[in-house]
Amino acid sequence: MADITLNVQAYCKVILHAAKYPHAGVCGVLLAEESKVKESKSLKFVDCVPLFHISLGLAPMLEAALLQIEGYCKTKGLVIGGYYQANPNYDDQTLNHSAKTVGRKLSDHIPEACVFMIDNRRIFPESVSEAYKVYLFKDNNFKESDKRETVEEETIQKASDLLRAEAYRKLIDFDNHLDDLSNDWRNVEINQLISQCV
Amino acid sequence: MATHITFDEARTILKKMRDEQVRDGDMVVKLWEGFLIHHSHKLADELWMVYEQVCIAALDCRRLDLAEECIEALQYKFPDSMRVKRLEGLFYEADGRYNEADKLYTEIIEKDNTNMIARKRQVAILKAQGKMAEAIQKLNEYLKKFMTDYESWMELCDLYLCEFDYSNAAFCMEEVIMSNPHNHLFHQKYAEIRYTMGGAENMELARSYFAQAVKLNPNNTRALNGVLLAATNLATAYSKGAKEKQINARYASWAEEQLTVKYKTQATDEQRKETKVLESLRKLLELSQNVGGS
Repeated sequence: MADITLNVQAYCKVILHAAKYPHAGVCGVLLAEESKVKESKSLKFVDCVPLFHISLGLAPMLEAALLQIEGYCKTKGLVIGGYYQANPNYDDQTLNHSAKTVGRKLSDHIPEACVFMIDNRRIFPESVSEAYKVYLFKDNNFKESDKRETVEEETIQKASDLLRAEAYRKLIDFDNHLDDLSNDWRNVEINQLISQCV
Repeated sequence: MATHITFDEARTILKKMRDEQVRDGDMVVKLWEGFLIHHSHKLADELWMVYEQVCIAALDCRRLDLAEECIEALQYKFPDSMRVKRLEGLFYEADGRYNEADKLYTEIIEKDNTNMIARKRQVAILKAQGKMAEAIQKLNEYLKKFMTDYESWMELCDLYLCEFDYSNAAFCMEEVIMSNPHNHLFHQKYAEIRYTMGGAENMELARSYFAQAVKLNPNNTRALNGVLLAATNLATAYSKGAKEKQINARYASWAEEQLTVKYKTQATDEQRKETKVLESLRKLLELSQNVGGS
């Protein structure tokens, strides 16, 4: 069974993306270290690229984004190992058609790839547990992973601090990038904020 | 807020947000409580629009206390207003009291059969409760009466997209385009839906509508990406013959050129170098060009 962990940079960006667009659905991808996937089939997620908050169920921009991100990953020894999605309705955590489609597509390249369905109710500064359910693709179906604790306590604390500081206002997703190409989806500034000591 | 701004600056920001229909409840509430509330008399007639704006923003932030204050102020000034009644309805909705909200909207419609907003809020209530099929049905009924309301066609399109019913979503966008033929964003969205539906015919439609979007607005990066992807698909997977392949290879090449120029002028050197974006675009283009003489 694949080991799944998210480092602070990956986790915080997911939470910030969901927080930035409370009235919309959001989605994005998680990048894992290629070497770890090959050696031990474990997914060590070290970064996240927030993708969209507009029209989540449509294909072309998703394909354009994945093409660019794959090119980026090759130069950094990373692979697209995960997809996260927050549905627009507050109480809706369903692993819907678009999440399944992307999940399947990713698992064509990386069999261990997983889907994170965000629980909107847990996106707030006082949250003490990870804000999603993890799904794995096995036997042509998606099953909820029984792995708990994909992140350390310090990571959740850091995410809370960033939410309080409204750091999500500075987060850039692929939709922002398409609106203005100078918006950098690598989120260098957010990365620096995250790595600053508490 | 860390920065201190003047009353006039806050007022201007709020006006800009109203004009551009920006949805940022947090910001509006902070501006109101931080910089405007104690000088509200200076707003003169603008005060009522600001109260409306702050009310809706407060509901977005679950500040029901603030929303209630705004509604009371507006009710005092405009006792019989339907526009204020609608805010009351929104208040009930935000508090999860959907039945009371629905009752209020029904009352509005009984008094005024042509009231569009109350009818649309009833659709919104169904959507908030996750009753998508009912919301779609209700909105369809509404559009039979008010078929020129293109914003509602847009909303219906989005409802169909939530249900992944792409062909009905495409139909809705067709209605929107008919009433707004010069809006590049609508052509682009229609193209995206057709692309998602797949198949040669849809891919050709997608390419045409992406191209039309670029023609209407050469800065539409999404549409340029769309032309490149659709043309590449048509030149490879859906190719009909050598001539078709050649035409699509040229479309793809043109789109890649436009995107390259954009990235060179707008993105920084470091961005391009690190993300390797131009190489990725080139790699995609090569797929459409390697069609040989077959």
